[in-house]
Amino acid sequence: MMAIEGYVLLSAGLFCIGLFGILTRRNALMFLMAVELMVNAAVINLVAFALYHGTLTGQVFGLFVLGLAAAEVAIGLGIILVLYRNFGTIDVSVPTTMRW
Amino acid sequence: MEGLFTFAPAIVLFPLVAFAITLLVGRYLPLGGAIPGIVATGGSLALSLVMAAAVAGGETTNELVYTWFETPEITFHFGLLIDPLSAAMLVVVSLIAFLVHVFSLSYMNAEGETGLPRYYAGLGLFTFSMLAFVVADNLLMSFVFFELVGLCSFLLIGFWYRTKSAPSAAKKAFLVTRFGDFFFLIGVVAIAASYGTLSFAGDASFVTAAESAIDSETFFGFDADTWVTITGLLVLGGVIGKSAQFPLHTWLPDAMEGPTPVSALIHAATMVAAGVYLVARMFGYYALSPTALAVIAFVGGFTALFAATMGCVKDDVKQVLAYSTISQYGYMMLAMGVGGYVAGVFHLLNHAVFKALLFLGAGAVIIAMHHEQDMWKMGGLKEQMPVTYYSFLAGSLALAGIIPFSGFWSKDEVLYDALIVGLSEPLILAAYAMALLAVFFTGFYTIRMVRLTFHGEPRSEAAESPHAIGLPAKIPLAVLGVLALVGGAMNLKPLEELAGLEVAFLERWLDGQGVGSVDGLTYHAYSETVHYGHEYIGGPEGTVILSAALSLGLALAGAGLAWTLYSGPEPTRHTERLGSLRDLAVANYYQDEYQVWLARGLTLPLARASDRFDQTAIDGVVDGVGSVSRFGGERLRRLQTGQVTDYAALVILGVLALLVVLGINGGWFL
Amino acid sequence: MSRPRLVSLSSRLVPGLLAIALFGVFAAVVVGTDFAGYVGFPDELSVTAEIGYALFDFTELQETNTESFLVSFLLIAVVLDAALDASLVLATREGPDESVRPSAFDGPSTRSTDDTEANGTAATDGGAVDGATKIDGEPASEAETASPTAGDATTDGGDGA
Repeated sequence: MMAIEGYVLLSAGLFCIGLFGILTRRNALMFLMAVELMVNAAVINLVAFALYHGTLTGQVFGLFVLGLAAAEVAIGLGIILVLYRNFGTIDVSVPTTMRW
Repeated sequence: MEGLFTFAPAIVLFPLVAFAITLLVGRYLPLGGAIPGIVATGGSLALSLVMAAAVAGGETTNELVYTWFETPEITFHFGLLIDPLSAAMLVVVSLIAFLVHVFSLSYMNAEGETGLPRYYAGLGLFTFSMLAFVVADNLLMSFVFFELVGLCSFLLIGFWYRTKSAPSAAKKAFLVTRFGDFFFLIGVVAIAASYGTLSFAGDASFVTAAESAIDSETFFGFDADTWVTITGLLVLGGVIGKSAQFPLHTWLPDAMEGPTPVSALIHAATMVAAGVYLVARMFGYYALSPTALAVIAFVGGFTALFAATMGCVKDDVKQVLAYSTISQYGYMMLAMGVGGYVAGVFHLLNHAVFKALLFLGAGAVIIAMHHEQDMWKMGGLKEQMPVTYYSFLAGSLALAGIIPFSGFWSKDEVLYDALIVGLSEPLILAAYAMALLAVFFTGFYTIRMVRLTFHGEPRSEAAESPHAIGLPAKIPLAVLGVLALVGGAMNLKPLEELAGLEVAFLERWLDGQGVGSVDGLTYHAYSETVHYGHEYIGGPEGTVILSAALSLGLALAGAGLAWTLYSGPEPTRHTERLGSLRDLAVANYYQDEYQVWLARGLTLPLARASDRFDQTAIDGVVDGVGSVSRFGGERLRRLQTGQVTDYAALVILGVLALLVVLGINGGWFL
Repeated sequence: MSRPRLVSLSSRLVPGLLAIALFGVFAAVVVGTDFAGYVGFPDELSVTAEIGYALFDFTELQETNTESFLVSFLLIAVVLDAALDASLVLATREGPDESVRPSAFDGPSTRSTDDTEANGTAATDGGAVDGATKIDGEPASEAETASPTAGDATTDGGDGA
């Protein structure tokens, strides 16, 4: 049996990869994917600690998070579509109207 | 409250209702809204007489009407204190107010003045304020209505607001009395803070508290008796402002800019009387402090002489009366200061009657003269206006202190009380001497005024064919003229001393003998507290005769001098002979000038300096804080680039920092 | 044209260091933590079945006492539905006249950004094309080749009807 540290490290790594994507990419689709990575990192954590504590709640939560991630992607894609319509690009560094 | 006193608040409220009615619907009422005021003051007069009768029947009241707010330490309330003093004052105030309202029908309505509802509303509010002040049972309530009286005087003095001088005079009256009231306010606060009560009467009064505190307690680092002196003098500041005593008397002559009936009301019964009445009301407190009493006496004596000299050189009939008012209030203050409580109140009541008479008489003359006030342009009015002449003469003789008119009896009593104290107290003797000398001047300027106004040949066209005055003007004059003649009978003290007749009615009234009284507020209670000894020349009887002879002799001398100097059909001006002394007196001893200098030369630079300090130091700090925030905000807002990535980076930076700090503190890292 | 590539190493990568630093902190914490008290599941337990029972409140069938999640399940279902609707709303054009061209679109050149992955927008763009006019002289080749891959072509079709 794999030690719990492994799962947690995996989760941390996955999260940081997602974060890296957000911090360095400009394409909105890449953003969505990176966010998806981060969400899944959280899910790994949930499942891992469900195993660790011997309760199934974490696992169920993991399922829910997957469902919510799907919802998030749906909305996110819609937003990207609108972004494209308004700016002609999905480069997130272009729309900077909501600032000082 | 029980019995007749249930109706006592109505005395005060009638004029208030009249004020409200006149203010709101006055323009639709006949006679410019005079009716509500006349009815209300008439009602107040009737009820005041009922109250006086109740007091005569042995009842008094000292009741709480409304509690403003209370704390464990002190309760602020409005209440009614009706004792012999306030009952007598109520009658006089409502009588004068009533007569002034009636007289105004002639003076204002008949002359086609505009803005009459405003005028009558002002009179109503003025009467209300003064009546409420008279019945006040505590110092705070007194203060509130004292201020309201000041406000009303402002409104009425400035009635002709389109002229240049009236608003200026109104402002001056307001500001000068406000200067005095500033000290009054501090005094009220000091008394409230040290005794925890502001009531005038009863076991819980500040007078009782101060009495028991003397010799045993200290307040704010002062002995109790020193503290009584300090607070007493602070309150006296308000008195000096309102009663126009030196050096805050300068507003009063200017206040002649108001309509003449208003002058009558201000000088006789309301505003100026309020100051002396306040001293009488809290006399028990002043009686505890010999220093405060001496100050009152000396200021009074000095003011009496000071103002009388200025009255001798004025050419405007109202100005002469204005200075006589200041002078007469000086006498009252002198009486209070020497412990002559009865004499002071006596003179207050008498003066109210004869000064109202003189002002209304002057008002009648002014109507007749088509609003000409210079006495040198009058003359010969005696035949044309007999009612005015004889009543005015009665008032003048009362003012001059000629036997048997009312002023003689009260002024003589004031001087007698001052003399018997002064024989052992040099300072009081000096005050007495000044007041005695002022008697001469009073006689002089009074008779000069009568002579110039009514005698001789007419010296202008207006004086040859005077305007007729209406019945509403004649009736008050007649009533007051009779009162000025017989008013002295209230307290024939010399006759009591010499002939043993029991005719000192006012003394018994104020002492509560045979009438109702409130404990501690009686003449003999005050006399026991006052520390003065009495000395006599040739026994009490001899002193009475000496004093009366001196004052009457001097009054007659002054009157006789004026009579001869200004006799004949074409009297000549004699005041020029005085040379520089006249200039000094005409210029009012440069009181205005030095006060203006104080304001311009001292207060203004001081205010400028503090303004500069405010602008630079204080505003600098405030503006500095603002500038720093603005500048910082200007820089900080550049963080908000609109780039999602930057936001995310910032969030992560924050989380990292937090994690590291928490981790190090919590020992997460191995 | 739209295959993934490594971004060029430039200053844009600098914020990425934060992610690496965060991983360092995470790793340090994880390594420094003692995960004692491991419980785990019994060997014979069917985890999937248990989750199913928990989701549908079949408490009698459960072997562990996991709490029931029926309400949450339904709520998530509603949320998903709402998200679907919301995405449709966002994607729908506001009227038949609305140009497929983005409002800020002023030529093919703006479409390419310095990010090479931006070419992926072609898919979205192409989806929009077949529901509307081609009068605009849309630079066609890219769009039309991409259109079959557009996931939301059905949305546009529904809109066009």
